[in-house]
Amino acid sequence: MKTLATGLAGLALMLLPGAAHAQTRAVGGGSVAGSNYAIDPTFEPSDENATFELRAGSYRPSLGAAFDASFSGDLGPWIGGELDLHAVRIPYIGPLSLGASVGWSEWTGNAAILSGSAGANAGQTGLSLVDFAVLAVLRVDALSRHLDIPFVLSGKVGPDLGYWRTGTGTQLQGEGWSVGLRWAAQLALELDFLEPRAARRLDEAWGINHSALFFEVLGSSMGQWSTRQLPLGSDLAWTAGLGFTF
Amino acid sequence: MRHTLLTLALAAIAGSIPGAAHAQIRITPQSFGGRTSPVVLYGNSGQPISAAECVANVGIPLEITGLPATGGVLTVLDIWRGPSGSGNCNQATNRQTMTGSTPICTHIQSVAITSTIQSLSLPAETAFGAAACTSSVSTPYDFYFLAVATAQDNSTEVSTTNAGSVTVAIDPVAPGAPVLMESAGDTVITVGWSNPDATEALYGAHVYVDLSGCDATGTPVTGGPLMAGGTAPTSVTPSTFQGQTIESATLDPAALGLAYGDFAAVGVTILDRARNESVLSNVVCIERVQVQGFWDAYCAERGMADVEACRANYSCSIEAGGGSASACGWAVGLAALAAVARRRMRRAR
Repeated sequence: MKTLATGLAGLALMLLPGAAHAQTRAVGGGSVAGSNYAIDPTFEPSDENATFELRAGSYRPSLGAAFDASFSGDLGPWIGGELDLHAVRIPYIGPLSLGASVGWSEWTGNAAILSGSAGANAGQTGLSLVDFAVLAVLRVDALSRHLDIPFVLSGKVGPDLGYWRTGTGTQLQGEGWSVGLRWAAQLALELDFLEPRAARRLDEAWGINHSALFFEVLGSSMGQWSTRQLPLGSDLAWTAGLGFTF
Repeated sequence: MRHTLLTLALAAIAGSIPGAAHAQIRITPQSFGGRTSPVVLYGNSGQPISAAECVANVGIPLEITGLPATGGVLTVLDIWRGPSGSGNCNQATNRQTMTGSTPICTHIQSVAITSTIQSLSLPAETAFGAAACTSSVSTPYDFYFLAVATAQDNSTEVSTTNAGSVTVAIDPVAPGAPVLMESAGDTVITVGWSNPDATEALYGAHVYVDLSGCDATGTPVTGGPLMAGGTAPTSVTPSTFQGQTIESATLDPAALGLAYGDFAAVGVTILDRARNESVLSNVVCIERVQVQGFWDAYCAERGMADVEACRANYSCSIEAGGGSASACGWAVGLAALAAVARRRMRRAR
């Protein structure tokens, strides 16, 4: 894990201009100035306004035996991104944000042959999902900002909207929309402590206050409230990825 | 006015001088053998001359423009063949027999110049030579059209104005037969094969179907029109599928007249860009089977055997013709809510 974190921090360093220029920024209401992670205790980080996350993981809808039989073992993958705009910072807790996320996943499997020669190639069947969510996000970064423990805990909840398509062979068999509620809980490891100088330069040059690796579990009730929507919700799914606060 | 008259007079004088400057000779291949304008006779984007066309000595129709006016000294159009890209037949040395070696360029024929624009049909076998029709090598050639004073002139350096060229390739080699794999399907049957000549860009494939070519167990019967390794059958009309790297084709079993459990024999040939057709692949039996995809299984699980009715049950289903307004309203409402929230946040700042 540390190796991966170090690698990502190194990647972030490579993205920096060769000679980071000193830059004075106005101090806003973002990070707590003078964190122990900073080499210079007087360093005042730039404002924190938003968090962007790139993610990949697995999402399997709770669609029952038909889904499990058709797409046995297919984990997706589920890939996507999320942008959270920080609305207000709750003192000694962290920012409360409004976010939007988009993700895509596709599951494929061999179509079952009901009659005729067993074993013949009869094409594939598939289901794809593009989902959108509007989320209220609370990030608890007090551990990191005040106690130098580089973890950030987040909770998310909001409406979830999914567009799905399904077909077999070359034939599109159905498509539609499903809505529901999504929740998520995230544990993020901020990478600042690995290379404090790099973290500071990242802020000075790009305005990126923190980069973090995260793991998130989530669930959704998408389509489960209506018999006229495909129940694409999932009791438990997971994603992992890289987040940037800027 | 005076300037225009002067220009016209000068042009008239220039035109009356034998061998005087004229537009450069240009060669434009015309449509033939299924080729349509612009006709390109070489490379992966063109259609070279096939073995069959070469053997049949098919004429390659050409339009030649920019020829010198009649009445001058340049009365003959000499046609020479040179290796593509490396032998400029304008140069006399390339048209001459050197000691101990054959000339780079070969004389094809000579025709009289009768107009500044002429049409010409260049016989394929004559142009390439009979040996090229049965060669195992695909080769492009540059054909030079030189305006000269005497036929088969190999001593005059011909200026670029008095010469034009066109590249024509001959591909006398048919591609190898594909290897076909068995397949089955319901609404579509995807027939797949491997192409042994994967490096050659193809025109496409012919898929031959014989509805009575298999027995009840799905084994090809002998004596039918589809003979593995044989020439393409003439008694069966193929379906043509295009693609430079094509390795599959989809058939509609219902359109073929196959019921569930019915077999049909299938053989495939592939065609290179010159339309040389390979021999027939191995013959396999395809079967129309009842297939259950995810949607079929999901609907069946909920007691809806009719997948159309099942699909119509789900809101906002585009296929079902609009779906229920309530779920669509949800989607629109959510989007509006997000927009309002964002605006309020901006105002708050």
